[in-house]
Amino acid sequence: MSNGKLSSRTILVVGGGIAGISATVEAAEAGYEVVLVESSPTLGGRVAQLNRYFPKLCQPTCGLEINYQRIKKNRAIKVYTMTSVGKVEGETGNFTVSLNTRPRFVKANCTACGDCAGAAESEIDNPFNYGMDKTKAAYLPHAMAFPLRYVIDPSVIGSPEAEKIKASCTVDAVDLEDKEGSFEIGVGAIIWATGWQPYGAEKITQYGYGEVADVINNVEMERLAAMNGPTAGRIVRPSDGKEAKRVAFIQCAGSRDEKHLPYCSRICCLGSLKHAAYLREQYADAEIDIYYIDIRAHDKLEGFYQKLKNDPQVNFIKSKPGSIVRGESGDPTVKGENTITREIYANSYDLVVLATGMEPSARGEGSSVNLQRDEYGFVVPCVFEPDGMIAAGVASGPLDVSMSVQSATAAALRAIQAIAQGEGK
Amino acid sequence: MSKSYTYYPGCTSRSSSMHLEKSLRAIAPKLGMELNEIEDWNCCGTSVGHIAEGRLPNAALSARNLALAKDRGEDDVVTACAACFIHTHDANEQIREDEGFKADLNEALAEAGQAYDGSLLVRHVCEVMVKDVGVDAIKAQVTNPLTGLKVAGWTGCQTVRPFAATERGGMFDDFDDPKFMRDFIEACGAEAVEFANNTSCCGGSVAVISPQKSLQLMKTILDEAKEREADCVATPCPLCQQNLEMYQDLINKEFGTDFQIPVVFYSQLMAVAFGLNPLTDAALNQQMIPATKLVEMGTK
Amino acid sequence: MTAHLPETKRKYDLTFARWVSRNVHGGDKLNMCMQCGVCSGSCPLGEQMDYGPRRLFMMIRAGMKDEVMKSDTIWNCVACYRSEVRCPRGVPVTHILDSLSVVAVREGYAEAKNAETTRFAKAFWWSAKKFGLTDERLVTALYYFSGGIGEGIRKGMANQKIALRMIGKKRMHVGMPRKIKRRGELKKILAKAVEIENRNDAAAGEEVKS
Ligand SMILES: Cc1cc2nc3c(=O)[nH]c(=O)nc-3n(C[C@H](O)[C@H](O)[C@H](O)COP(=O)(O)OP(=O)(O)OC[C@H]3O[C@@H](n4cnc5c(N)ncnc54)[C@H](O)[C@@H]3O)c2cc1C
Ligand code: SF4
Repeated sequence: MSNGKLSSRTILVVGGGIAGISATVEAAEAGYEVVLVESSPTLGGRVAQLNRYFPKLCQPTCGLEINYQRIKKNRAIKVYTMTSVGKVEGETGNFTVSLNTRPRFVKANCTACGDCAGAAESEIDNPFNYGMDKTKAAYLPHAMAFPLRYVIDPSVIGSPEAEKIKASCTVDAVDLEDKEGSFEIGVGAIIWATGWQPYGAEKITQYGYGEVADVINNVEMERLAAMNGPTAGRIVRPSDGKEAKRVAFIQCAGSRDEKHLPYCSRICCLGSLKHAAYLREQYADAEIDIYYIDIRAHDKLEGFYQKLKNDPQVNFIKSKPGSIVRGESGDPTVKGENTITREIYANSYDLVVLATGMEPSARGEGSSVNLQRDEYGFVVPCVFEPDGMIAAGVASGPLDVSMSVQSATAAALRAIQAIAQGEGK
Repeated sequence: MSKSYTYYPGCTSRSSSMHLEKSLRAIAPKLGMELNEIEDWNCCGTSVGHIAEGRLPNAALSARNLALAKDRGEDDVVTACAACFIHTHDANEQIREDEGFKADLNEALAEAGQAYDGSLLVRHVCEVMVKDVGVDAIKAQVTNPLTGLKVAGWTGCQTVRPFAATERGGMFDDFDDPKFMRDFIEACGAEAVEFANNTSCCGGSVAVISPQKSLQLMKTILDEAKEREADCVATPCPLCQQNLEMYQDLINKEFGTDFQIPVVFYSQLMAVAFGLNPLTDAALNQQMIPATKLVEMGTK
Repeated sequence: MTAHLPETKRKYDLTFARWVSRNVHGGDKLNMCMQCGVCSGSCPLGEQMDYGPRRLFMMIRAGMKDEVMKSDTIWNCVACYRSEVRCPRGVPVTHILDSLSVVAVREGYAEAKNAETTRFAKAFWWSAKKFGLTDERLVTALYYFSGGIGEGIRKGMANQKIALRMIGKKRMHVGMPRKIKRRGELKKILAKAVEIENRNDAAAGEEVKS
């Protein structure tokens, strides 16, 4: 690809979650060329992994599908999946970026018929469901994947199974020779929309994640509740498949904690309220305890909180628990002090959900890239002068979907300004 | 190759946990640890000294030990007693961080012509074994694997809290679910049973002063050891060892139980596994509740 | 202008909280406490405490000096440091409770002076100062009798069996107490440290008055 004058009008968007997608279409619809790179095999990011999302509790499809249509329609957009950023050189208005691609082993003529998955025998942990179930080594990331194209896991490459998979494809879309690659592009501005990852709950040792059965985190709860999740939407305990009716939510699990994430992730309170709503819909006799320091349901969602607060089957217990242990019956047991009554409690549940926060993903990403980050690892946007390094979505701070979209729109405008600045030089 | 350390045995090494001292001395050369005792060391003040006379006089006890340790040079100061460790380490850190405190202590030390600048590092011997020696080197010394012995590794509190996961504390293990006892036990060829009470507290000095308050705490620990069918409980902490062993009779009387569970130190397990004499080297003759199975493994 | 406003009797008095912040080791971190309850909920003896650390810390903020100083929370702390390492705000809970106990004794609160721990501590200090080492046997005896002869005999009897078994296993020393060599040096150091502590204390007192 050339580095001609035109390229300085190109905007690179890194990360194809809701923020990256939004920034891409906004900038492209304003007349700019956009290259969108995504490190996983599909666009959609974490939103695709939610069951439903507030404020309106819509399906993730409604936000994503319309944007996919906008991407497809717009010829100024180029999407590269399984691609990440290697090196960035140059300055605002004139960057040279090297991009690295991983092999997918499936070409663009894939019709997503699924024959290859039928031929595959090996199974891998299903990343879409956070490893709560398995998927074939030839798989479609999920039903809403974009591009709608299969992937073959590198673990089977070189085996007779790979040959079998290749042979099963009737349109000859399997390419077992696919290799890692890299290429360079020239761009005028870069939007970092690399999003987040769930904070590692196993690091909060006293909460027993990974040690005590039926202690899960909140992203796993989203998958448990989802029709396309590991249990087809039935909220049951992972250990024995029993219906999870007595459920505890532990707020600020690792958040606002100097030893873990010192900041408030903003969405976990609403996340747990939403999960309580899932449970109340599924089981009429569900009993839910939400352990909290203070509930932070920001502005427009206060009403949602009030509604649940009036539900007699949803209890709010003002307490940050000390520990979660395996109780005598084998159930997870939450221990702590109720700070209103000063009672020391030990309560057992079917399921305990740790409301862990959002940690900026790929903290180390782009160590070769000179990105300004705050003390928590979020990318700091330069506010006072047009800068070609711009952040959007959760890469810039803990935001919900609508705020991510707003920040993406703002980022698109900043990128355009940066390009104008670069052209003026 | 052996490494030289300045060693602070602490008061209990001369009395209630002599068996820790003896077994540690027996295994140290095999692990390449050269333990050089602080000359004329004194008591560390433990968890009550400051209540009697205040924080500064209490820290002065540690300051004198550290000043004497410094006479040996810059070797790390190592101790096997949890209480000695946290009080000496804590005093040392405060001397480093608080100039006023350091000046006050040096004013006191000057009375005996001594001084201490805070330059040493105070370490727990278990941290040294994990980081300087390494679990593999421990394993390499095993000539008499304790195959078939089921051990409940009970770390207790003060060996890991509040310093195990701090930089100066060596970042060697977790506060809530430390792994090193399990690693030690397995290195000896024994089976480390699951033990949820790994860092449960025995009541510490409150147990010494008012046993009634802490009997329930100890019972919970014994209950699990029994449930897991452990042949013995192994701990790194002198106070834990003493409390859990000493109070079993009282617990049995109070709760109508019949516990007779031996409580040993990791160093005793190692001594037997290294093929040393179970009675004289591992000092198992000093158990109040005999660790019969372990003794037999050593005499075979 | 304020005719409609009610008379308020209780004022927030921060004097005590400020004093704690300056004079209790670790007390400067108390203002970080967000009353989450992790400390009290992590305490092995939490149920036996009158307030527990969280509430005690709020009482410090509220200026409830006497209640804090008389509280049994500080005496029931087993120093397992669980709260301290779990506190999400880095409040050194154990250190603060520990330091408060020193203050309570110094300030002459009867509850503190008569606390079992204090009596044990005095007995212990006697041995440390005199011999440079803890003589577990003498410390225990002294402590037992610190509550009066009757109590001493009762406690002594209750533990006689244990003591004999310890002696049998050579884990309790019999004979002359062990001593360090240069006891004179230690004595001088400790005397000076006490003097400096008193000097610092007096200065802290002046600061409150000014
Ligand atoms: C339990 C839970 C429930 C939630 N529920 C809701 C809700 O109901 N409503 C709501 O509004 N919000 C909700 N959120 C928040 C919501 O998930 C985020 O606001 C949203 O995901 C932000 O989108 P994003 O594009 O910034 O980041 P992401 O969704 O994380 O997308 C980032 C994308 O960038 C890619 N990427 C990362 N690094 C690189 C790289 N170096 N190169 C290329 N690509 C890269 C990733 O693969 C990913 O596809 C919830 C969060 C949690 C934890
Ligand atoms: S754990 Fe820390 S922040 Fe929470 S109540 Fe206790 S002292 Fe306060």
